[in-house]
Amino acid sequence: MGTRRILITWCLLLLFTVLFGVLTMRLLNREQSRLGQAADIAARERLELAADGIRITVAGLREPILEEVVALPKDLSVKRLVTELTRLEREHPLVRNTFVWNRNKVLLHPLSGETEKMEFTNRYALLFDGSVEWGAPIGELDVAAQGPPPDDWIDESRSAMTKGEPVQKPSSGKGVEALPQSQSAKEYSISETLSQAGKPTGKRAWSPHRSTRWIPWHWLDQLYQLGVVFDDERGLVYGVELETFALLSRLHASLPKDVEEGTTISLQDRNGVIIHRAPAGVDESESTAAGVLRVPVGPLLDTYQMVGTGLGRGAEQSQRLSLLLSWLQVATFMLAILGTGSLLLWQAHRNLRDARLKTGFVSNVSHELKTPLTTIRMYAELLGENRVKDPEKRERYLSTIVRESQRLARLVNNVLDFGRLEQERRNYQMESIDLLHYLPALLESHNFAETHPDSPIDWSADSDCCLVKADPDALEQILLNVIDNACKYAPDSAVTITVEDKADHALVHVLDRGNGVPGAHARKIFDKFHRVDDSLTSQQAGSGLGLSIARRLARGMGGDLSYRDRAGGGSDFTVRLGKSG
Amino acid sequence: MAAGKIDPASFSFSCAVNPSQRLFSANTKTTAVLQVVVNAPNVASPANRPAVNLCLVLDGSGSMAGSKLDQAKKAAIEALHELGPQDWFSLIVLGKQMETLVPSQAVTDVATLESKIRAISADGGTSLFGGLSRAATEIRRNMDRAFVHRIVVLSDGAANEGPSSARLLERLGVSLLKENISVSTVGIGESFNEDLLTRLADKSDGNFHFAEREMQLPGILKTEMADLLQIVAQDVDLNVECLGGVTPVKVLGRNGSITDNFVNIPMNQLYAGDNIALIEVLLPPNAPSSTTTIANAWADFRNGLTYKVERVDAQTQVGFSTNQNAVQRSEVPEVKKATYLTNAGLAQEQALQYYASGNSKDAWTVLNRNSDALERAGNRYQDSELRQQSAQLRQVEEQVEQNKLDNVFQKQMRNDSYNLKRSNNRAGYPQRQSAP
Repeated sequence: MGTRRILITWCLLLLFTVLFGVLTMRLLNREQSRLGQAADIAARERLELAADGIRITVAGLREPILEEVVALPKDLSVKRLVTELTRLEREHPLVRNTFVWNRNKVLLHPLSGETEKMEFTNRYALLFDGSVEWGAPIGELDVAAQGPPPDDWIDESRSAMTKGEPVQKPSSGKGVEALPQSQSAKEYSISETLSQAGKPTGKRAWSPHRSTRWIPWHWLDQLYQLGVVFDDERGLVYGVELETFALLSRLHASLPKDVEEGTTISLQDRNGVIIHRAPAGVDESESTAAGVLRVPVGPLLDTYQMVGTGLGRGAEQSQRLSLLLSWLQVATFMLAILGTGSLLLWQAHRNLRDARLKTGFVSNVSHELKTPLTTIRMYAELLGENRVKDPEKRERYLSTIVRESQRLARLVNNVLDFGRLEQERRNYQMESIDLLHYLPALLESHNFAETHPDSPIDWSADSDCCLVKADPDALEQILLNVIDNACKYAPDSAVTITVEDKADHALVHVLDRGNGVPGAHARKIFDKFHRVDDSLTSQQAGSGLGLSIARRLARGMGGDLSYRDRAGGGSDFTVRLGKSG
Repeated sequence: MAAGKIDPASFSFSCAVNPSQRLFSANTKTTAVLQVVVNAPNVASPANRPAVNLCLVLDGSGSMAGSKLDQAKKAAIEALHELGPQDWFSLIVLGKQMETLVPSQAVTDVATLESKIRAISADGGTSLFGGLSRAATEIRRNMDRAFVHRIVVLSDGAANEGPSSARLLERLGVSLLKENISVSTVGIGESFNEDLLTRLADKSDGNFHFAEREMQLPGILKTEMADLLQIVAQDVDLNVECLGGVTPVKVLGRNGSITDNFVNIPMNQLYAGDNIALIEVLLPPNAPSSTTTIANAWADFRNGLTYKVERVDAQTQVGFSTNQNAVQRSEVPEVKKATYLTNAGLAQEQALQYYASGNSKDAWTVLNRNSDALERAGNRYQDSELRQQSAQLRQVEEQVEQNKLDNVFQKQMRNDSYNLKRSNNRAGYPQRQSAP
């Protein structure tokens, strides 16, 4: 009943520990996930900041160019306009080409047949031949509605220009903000709101006569940009083509200077070509890193993106380490709970078992003490009452009294020795003993022939002298316990004692032809209180201490007591003793 | 910058326009070549020359490890020794850690700069675009403190990160030229992209050098520095107005633009000596006359000593005659020779392009046509250089015919054709840097 209770308790403890562990792990994982998300957000913000730097630089480089074009006097003849634009093209490092186009779909400039000019014309053929609207489309096939002056205003203003009437301010159109007519070109503020979807909404400031915008244009997988001025009064569209790669080359200074080890932040085009990276340098051993974040730069550099690798890796690593440590702590705690609980339960189980054994021992000892005492008392009373007349019977009764007294004495000695051994108070007086003299003297002194007439004992040795180092009393106790067991548990069987004289030790075998020790008990027979059949009604008397004490005594003298099955049936108890000298 | 010991007044420039012949056949449409020469004075001594703003871009990628990098460092140190305290020096190293090893600074502590150069080690790849971007940034730091701005790139390999096509990098060269920054390139060994390096140099009015072996590097840098230190004017804007119905057809061996009858040839710098531009023109039929002005040329530039913008100009007159002998005798051999040699350089370039695209037949045709022309011209003018050039072209013809133009030979051809053009653009520029 107690063992079952202990088992149930242990199972409950296990269940609780597992539940606790699982819950804690889940909480930790959730926290880790939350921290990971926070790290991702931080990394993304960092990348967004880098993208902002790029945007600001691009705007700072690009806008003054268009402002310079817009600042050209609006009453310039076309020829002078071409001259000025050509000068700008020749002098400005970020201007690749310039152009003048009129609303009759005629390209007035450039006209030269040079390769670069022909390529330029070809590149924007869709614009120059009117296939694509200047105000709306972006790129080869994309169409995104932009904010040119509203159509009704255009019609009105054209009509007004034709009639020579002043041009009125427009009504509010699609995404267009009108400035007062008197506003000069120099007071332009060119601004664009950036759309996260990558489709610029192109809010632009303009006067009734001129407006500007930047048109990103994709041609043969490259980004080009046209800065365009719409001169509606004269029906002209003119402007510049940006020297894109010269502009890109100036962006390296806008990347973050301090980048953590193991992370990179790079500006890449849509094909993944790295324009600039921080830290700078090419490590050919780097492979595509996991955990890549991308943030589009936006309309200022259409299809370009900031790419970050390994961002937050440091935080991620420390989080992982922290999580690992937390798991270790939880696991340790669980192990501690389980281990301590198990230890306590096992100790309880042992105590329970020991208590049972002790109870059994006390019962057995009581029985063992009572049995010879009863016999001694019975025979002593008979003899004392002088009721036994037969001298042979008297002799027999006296022998029985002596024998039972001796048994009683041995039992008491065992109990006392057991107590001393438990308290480790047993001292050994080691002497040099010749086994070949000691054994026969022992057998004779204890008169086994009379006390166990059905178990004749004989002994033999393989040498003429066998000196061992032992405590004589302890050795006597060991041999008596073993021989007594042999006589008890192998009745009607001869007991054979053999002495093997080895180089550094001697072996004393006590052999019988009894039933031997059942396999399951073979390891336990030297445990204290253990008996093969621990029933009060056992056929054989015994306390379960004899072999335990014998082994402890043998080991106390530097030897050992062991058991094995005897070949051919029976038991072989072997006492190992150290040689003397 | 203080003026040097030379009297600026004696530091004078001049301009001349020489036609390919003085007399043309009357009543006939004729093609001619105008040689425009802007002569710049020699720099008398190192103390008087304009300040130089130099940035070296050194390829420190893994492939440069060993002797190549050692020689490159040696070359860089020799370049450094050519500079003086009035000059500015910076150094970019390409590789695993691309870094601005030496930010732009005055060349006052040569020993420290040398030790930094010696400490360079090789690892990683090559981001040419990134390196050039950083070099340009360093140059810009001291644009107003120096007069001559030059980036010199030394590389043995193809750019393997960043924009790396010749088309894109030449645009960067065009842009840098507008800022008066020229890029000279040095290709080392067999693996570099000569198309990329030559086009980058060409568009930025820089030099191109081919170092077949790394031991040539110190000599090449010395030549480059000698060239750099001969620059006496910048922001050169050469214009030619063709008169009398003369139509400009093309500019030979230089970048230039034609608008109507105007030719504009931007040059980043003027070197001491003759700076030459060749323009092919078409003369309309003219009645026999004594002299007709067919071109006005003027060059605006910034004087390297005085920092002032100056102009030199010239005109040229030619006559028209029905006397064919007189017409023939009026040929100007120098101009003719320069034309033939420039065309030979262009022919080599074109042949290389044909060959690279697998068109050996057209490559051979171009070479053959030009080698014949050179031979005829050499015989006609008794000119050994023309004959020698013809022989060289014939060699290349044979190689092309047998399909044996190996990588190194192509690079050498590219080097030759580039320098041929440059030498015809500048009198005294060495045609070929030969191996030591």
